[in-house]
Amino acid sequence: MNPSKASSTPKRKRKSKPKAKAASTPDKLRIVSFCCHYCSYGAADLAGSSKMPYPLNVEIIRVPCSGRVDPLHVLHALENGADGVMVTGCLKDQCHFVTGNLHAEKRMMKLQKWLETIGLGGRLEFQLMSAGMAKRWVETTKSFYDRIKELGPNPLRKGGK
Amino acid sequence: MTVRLATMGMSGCSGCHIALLDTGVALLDLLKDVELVYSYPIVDVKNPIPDNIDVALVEGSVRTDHDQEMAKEMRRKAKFLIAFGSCSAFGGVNGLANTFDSQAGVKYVYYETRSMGEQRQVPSEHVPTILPENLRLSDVVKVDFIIPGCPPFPDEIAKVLGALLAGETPSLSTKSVCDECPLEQLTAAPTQLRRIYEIPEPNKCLLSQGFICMGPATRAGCKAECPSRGIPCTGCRGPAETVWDQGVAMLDALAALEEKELAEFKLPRITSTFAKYTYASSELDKIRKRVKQK
Ligand code: SF4
Ligand code: SF4
Ligand code: SF4
Repeated sequence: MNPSKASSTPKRKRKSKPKAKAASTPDKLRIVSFCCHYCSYGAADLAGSSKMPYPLNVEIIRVPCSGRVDPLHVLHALENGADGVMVTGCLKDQCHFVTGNLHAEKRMMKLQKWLETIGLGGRLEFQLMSAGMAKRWVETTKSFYDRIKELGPNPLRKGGK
Repeated sequence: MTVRLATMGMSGCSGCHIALLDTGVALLDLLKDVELVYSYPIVDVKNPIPDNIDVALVEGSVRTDHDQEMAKEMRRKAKFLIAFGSCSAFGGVNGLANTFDSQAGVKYVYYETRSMGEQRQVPSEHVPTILPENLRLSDVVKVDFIIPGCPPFPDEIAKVLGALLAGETPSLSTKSVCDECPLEQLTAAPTQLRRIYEIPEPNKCLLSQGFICMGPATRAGCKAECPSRGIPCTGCRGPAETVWDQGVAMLDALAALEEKELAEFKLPRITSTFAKYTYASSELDKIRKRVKQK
């Protein structure tokens, strides 16, 4: 164990950096979106196959359930320079795991408040949608992207811009 | 061969030193092999720190430039440096000060508190300067081991010192407080938030009853002192071995509560409940410091 750390969890191995896909977008803003396998991922997929455009800056990470997203995942994304983080899940009462989305909502609401206290307010978005709601997906990503654009890049981003 | 032991207090409450004295008979046994060469809160001599220290117990967080210097000097002179107590190991209760601006704090203390009387000014002599952040010991120097707890348990202090004297590597429990808790653990998640002044049902897990008990996220080793007496654990022993961040882990656990209940559970109560002893070493504070630097 490493007693000099507050938590003596073994150090996580850093994988080689993923290629900066969204770096090709003109403004280089990057939004990490956690999508649940059963609903919001389906919505994003449908938006794609129906050729409904949504901001290129959104990078999707598929998770089994929005309830799987630990607040730490969000913090690590922001710490490593993500400009915004979205957590999206199924509609109320439609969660594949019954209450995962509700749990996620409560966690993220409190986390949003926490983020406000450390100068990263507004950079976390939580939304619920069904697999058929491609339009909702497009609207959500667009409005969140607009908000992030207004807030500007994450101050923690490497290189500072 | 006698072991040269030093103990030192920085920004803390001396409670950890009281716990050291509280080891009682075990302390007498230890003192056969130990020479206490420096102990600033117990013996009223502050300078100089002697050379060739084998083991140093350092209590309190690093809050002033003086603390910082003392910590560095102790590191130079001690072979084995132990962060003694939660202030030193995680920033402690003092760490919650990081949720405020330090200069605003200084202003409040010297200008706004009533007890200041007529002399409303920040003294410029004989007092050390406050650092902008409350730091834990390992933010300033390399730490070889921690003894967590606010204050640490006398038994554990004796065990760690005993192991060091015997030439062994000391270790801490890797379990969580729940693992040691004698209360009946229910599978039901809490739906209702209950306050500390309410009377719990005896012998049933407090968290399941809706009291915020930090047991699941907290390192074992205290034999669940608080829950076994019907008082929720406040997490004084810091994060358990497998927990990355105590506060965030508890935020996860809260999710089962009803929305109506959660609405009442707001900041800053969340911070001061979930990160009571660890805010200064939490992920949140780490990010805050980096954002502030930019
Ligand atoms: S850890 Fe607790 S007992 Fe020790 S100095 Fe800090 S506040 Fe006091
Ligand atoms: S009372 Fe607290 S420490 Fe005991 S089992 Fe419940 S949560 Fe864990
Ligand atoms: S039960 Fe919790 S608060 Fe009480 S002594 Fe143990 S770790 Fe500290």
